[in-house]
Amino acid sequence: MTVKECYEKMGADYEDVKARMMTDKMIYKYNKKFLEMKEVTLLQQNLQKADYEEAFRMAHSIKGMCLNLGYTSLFEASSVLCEELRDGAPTSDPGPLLKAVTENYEKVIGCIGEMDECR
Amino acid sequence: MPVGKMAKGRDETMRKKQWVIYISAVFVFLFLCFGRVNLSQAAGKSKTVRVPYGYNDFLKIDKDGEVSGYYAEYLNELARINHWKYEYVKATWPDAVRMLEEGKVDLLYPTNYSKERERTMDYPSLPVGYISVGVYALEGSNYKYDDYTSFDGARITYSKDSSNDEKLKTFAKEHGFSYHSVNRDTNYDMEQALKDGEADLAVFNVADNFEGGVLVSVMEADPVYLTVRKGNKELLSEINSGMQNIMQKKSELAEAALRMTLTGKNDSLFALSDEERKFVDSGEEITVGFYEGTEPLAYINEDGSYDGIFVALLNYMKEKSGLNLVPYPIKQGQEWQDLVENGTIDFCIGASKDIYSSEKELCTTDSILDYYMVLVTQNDCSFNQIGKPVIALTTRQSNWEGFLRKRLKKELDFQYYQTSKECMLAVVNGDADASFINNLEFNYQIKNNRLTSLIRWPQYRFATEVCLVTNQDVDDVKSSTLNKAIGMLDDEYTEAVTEEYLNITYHSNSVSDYLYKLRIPLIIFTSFLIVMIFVFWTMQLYRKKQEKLREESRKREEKYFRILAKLSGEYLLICYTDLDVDQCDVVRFSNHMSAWMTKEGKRRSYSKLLQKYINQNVQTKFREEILPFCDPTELVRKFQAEKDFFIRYEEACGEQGCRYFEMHFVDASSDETEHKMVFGIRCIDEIVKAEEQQKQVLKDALEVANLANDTKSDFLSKMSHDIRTPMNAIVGMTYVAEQHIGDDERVRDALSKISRVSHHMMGLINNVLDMSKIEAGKMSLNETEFDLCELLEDILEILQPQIKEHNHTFTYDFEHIIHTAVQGDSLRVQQALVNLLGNAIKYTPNGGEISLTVCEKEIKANRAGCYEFTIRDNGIGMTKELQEQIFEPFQRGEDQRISKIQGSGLGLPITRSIVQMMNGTIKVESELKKGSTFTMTIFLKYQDVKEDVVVEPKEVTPENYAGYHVLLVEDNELNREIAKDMLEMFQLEVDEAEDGQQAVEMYEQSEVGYYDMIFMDVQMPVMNGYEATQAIRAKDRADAEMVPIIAMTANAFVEDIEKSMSVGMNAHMSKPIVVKEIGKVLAAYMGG
Repeated sequence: MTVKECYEKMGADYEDVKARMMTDKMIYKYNKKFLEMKEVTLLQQNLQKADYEEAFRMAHSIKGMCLNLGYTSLFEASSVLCEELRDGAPTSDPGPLLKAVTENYEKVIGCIGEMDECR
Repeated sequence: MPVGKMAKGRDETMRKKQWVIYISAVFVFLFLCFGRVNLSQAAGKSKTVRVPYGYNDFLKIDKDGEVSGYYAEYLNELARINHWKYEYVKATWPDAVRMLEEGKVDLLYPTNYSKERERTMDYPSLPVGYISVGVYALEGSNYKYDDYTSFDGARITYSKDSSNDEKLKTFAKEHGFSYHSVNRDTNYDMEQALKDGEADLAVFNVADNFEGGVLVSVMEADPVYLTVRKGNKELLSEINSGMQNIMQKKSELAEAALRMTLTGKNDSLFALSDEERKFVDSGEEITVGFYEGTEPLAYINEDGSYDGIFVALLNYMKEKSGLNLVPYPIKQGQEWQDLVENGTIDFCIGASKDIYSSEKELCTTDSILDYYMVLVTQNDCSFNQIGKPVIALTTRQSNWEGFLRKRLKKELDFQYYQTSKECMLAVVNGDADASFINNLEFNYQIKNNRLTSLIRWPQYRFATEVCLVTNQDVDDVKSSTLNKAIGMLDDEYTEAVTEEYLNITYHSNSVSDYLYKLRIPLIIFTSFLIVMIFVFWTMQLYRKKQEKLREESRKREEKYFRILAKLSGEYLLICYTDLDVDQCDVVRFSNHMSAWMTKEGKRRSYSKLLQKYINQNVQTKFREEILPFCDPTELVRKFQAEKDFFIRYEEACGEQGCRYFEMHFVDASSDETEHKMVFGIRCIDEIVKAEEQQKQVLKDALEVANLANDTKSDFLSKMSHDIRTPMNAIVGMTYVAEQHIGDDERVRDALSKISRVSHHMMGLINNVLDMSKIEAGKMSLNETEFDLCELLEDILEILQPQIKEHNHTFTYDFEHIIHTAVQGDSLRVQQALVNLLGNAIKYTPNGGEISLTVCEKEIKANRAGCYEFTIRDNGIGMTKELQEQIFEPFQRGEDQRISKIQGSGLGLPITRSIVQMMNGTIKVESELKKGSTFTMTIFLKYQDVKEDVVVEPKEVTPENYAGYHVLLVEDNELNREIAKDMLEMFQLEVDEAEDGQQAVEMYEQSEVGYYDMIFMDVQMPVMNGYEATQAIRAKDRADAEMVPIIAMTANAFVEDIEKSMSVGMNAHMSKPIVVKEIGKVLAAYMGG
């Protein structure tokens, strides 16, 4: 699957990323790098142990990566969670928000896995 | 006689019998030839036959006339066949012989055959039995059995008339002894002779009873006959045919008669021989095994003692003979043969002589008991119709198979069980069709309720002799002693024992038997139990149901009571009152009432209670109103009008002030005959006060509304005035112009004035319309592109005449505007500024100073600018109160100083509305007589970035920045890598820091001026971007304030941008980072 097809499948903004990164090779490189990032796992762990400060930072970090890599849906999901956590403990149950993040993350991860290498 | 010879003896007897029959047949022939026929007795009529009796035990008649004796049954059968009637004639034996000859009796028995007698009597062809003749001594005499040498020279007495004379001669000759004859006529005389010592021995028929005599030898048995008088042919032929008949049809009767005489069973004791005596004296045990559990034959009592017919017989034999007979129980299922072989027992009791004696390897004794073997089936069994019936036998009956096949003349199958009872049960259960058991056990077992359905078949009844049996050789002395001991068994005793044991109560260890026996009581008991349980259960159900109902009704009551209690909770006192008798039950009262109440539920007079309360608690002014309600009759009257009414009053003032209370009267009569009432008192102070408060609120609201109305009316009247003034001018100037048509100068002047006031009026009206639009929420912004500087210049041009008019000094500063090409509703911006400036002009006394400063705060990333407009004057100023009011519609400074100044009072409210729509703010600072400062901040979008006039991006040429150093501060590895890659496109040397702390450290450690720029993420752990920036800016280094720090955030909020500026960051770059943006920033701060 080409980078473009992959981005279309994951519902990400290929054109935007392409404009910023110039080449598919770069996009491919960063996407593979994204697979190594532990932020989502840390976010889940921190939420579980109610460390909302750290969870906020993770959500924020994810948000930043999503902006860079153009993962629109994951960006939106992480933004909502990030805002919920901005002032410390959430006012409502963060479970569904985390679930949205996790689901989108897994979708993204899955798509990256199918991405053909670019040279 | 040794046991081994017993069977042989039997054969001899049979041979002898044949011989007798042969001889008899010859005599019958002779009688038939020479005898005469007595025709006196007509056939078909019952004939009287005279029979003698009283000389032996063959026929006895007791004092009741009951006939008994060995031959009684046989004779009766004979009489039945020949239609005889007996006439019994008491006689002695010699008398009887003589009476037959004399024709006084018709029948004589038992008659031995002798030639002498044949002269006077006729013999039938068959003997009726056999009679042994015994040699007797007195009991206690020294004669031993068959000790013939001791007989030598003895005085022997015998009946002269009998044939015993000849027999004795032969017997003495045979055994080699001589004797002296002592002739006596009767048995009695002979007994007497012995007792008197006139004779030593006596010769009797063994069938005759000799009390106190002992048999010392037995001569061979002779046949005996029923004889008739010589020549009585008719009777003889009747006897012959009758006996034939009995032989054929009642063989067992014939056999019994024959056997009776053969074995010589009577009460006579056999004398023991020398050897036998020694054997008895040695006390050697003879162990006799019996099968236990064969009631009534043999069994073990609960106390462990052995019992039963066999045991009793053995004991009797032991007692009589002195033989040491020891009964030994054999378990059911055990083989007696095994026990004999291993020496545990010597004999087994209970064998059927007929069956066992034919088996060569077995030795049997004389018979100890007779009984019948019977065929047993269910009472509804058609045994004869079963083709191959299954017969249940006990395991020790296996040798009966052949006998049964022969006697039943059928093919049979056999099934074996351990006990007779099991056999019978098998028949009952249908496992077998029949069983074949002895009648004694049958009679006992039939007492078992489970077996009552069994019956015996009379035609399959076989008499059998019971004996002792062994499968080992027995020495002669032992066997002869045993047989003599058996011979000592008394028939009467045996009968009595049999009778006795047949009457024992049924005993069973089997639980099923017990249960079966108790089945009816059990069924009754069980039924009763079931009925009881059912009744109990039903009662329990009923009780539970009742309980449930009670519980439900209790709960319901409780619920209602709780509801009532909750509903009546606010009542301080509740009384149920019977007005007819003026009596009340206090249902409930609170602490408040307890001061003058004593006990709940106590009956008291209603009128007195209420009077007491009123006098003590109610304020005087209410008493008059309430007191009538103390009268029950008055209440009854009132209830006729309404069923429910209230009285409101105040209680006497206490600690809580004067509180409102209410009395509630409710008619509770069920019909017209009674007058019941529920009466309650509650505190309604809070309600009343709340009502009052509510009233006050409404009153206040009304006042506010009136005030607003007044304000509007006031405004309208002012507006009318403001509008009429220019209208007057217009009307006046129009008149002037008309009057001076042709005078161009005057007309032009008039028209110019008209035009000016018209415009003013237009402005007024526009304001009013705007305001109403704003109030209705209908105002909208109309965005267009415009140049802010041009707009400002236009405004100044518009206002220039007024400024001049008032002689004000006007200064302005537009230097801080970065972007002039913006988008927005220019008209509204103009309107707002004109309003503010107009006010400054109007409310500043002539010759005042007015200034306008415009300042742009860049929010680059948003592509919009924050513009701050400051209008300052040194005019009349405002009080604090007025400052608060000026933005409210329809308000104008109630100030004498400005009364002549024209205005709608809508300018500032409109301005504020416009500013708010543009997401801006408006503030006022003012001091009375010193002047006012209005600060308006609005956001305006920039026009297309390409036309950005300030920062013109240069063409991105990466080589441009080779050799420059930048510090990239970003916590996220991926973002950092991306940013680094992008920065490196510009050939920049990029150092990385993971958080603010690290960045500050790296900055510190770098040479002054090393970093040409710092790209700073804001949200970071340890130290965030703001803090890091502040730390860097605070360093005492030459480049601390110089180095450009560019914020990088994903946030696009204005506050964030403001914050980044306030901490000393130079610019803001929003994520995601775009190469072009980097280029712009680099160009802006590093000068390319």
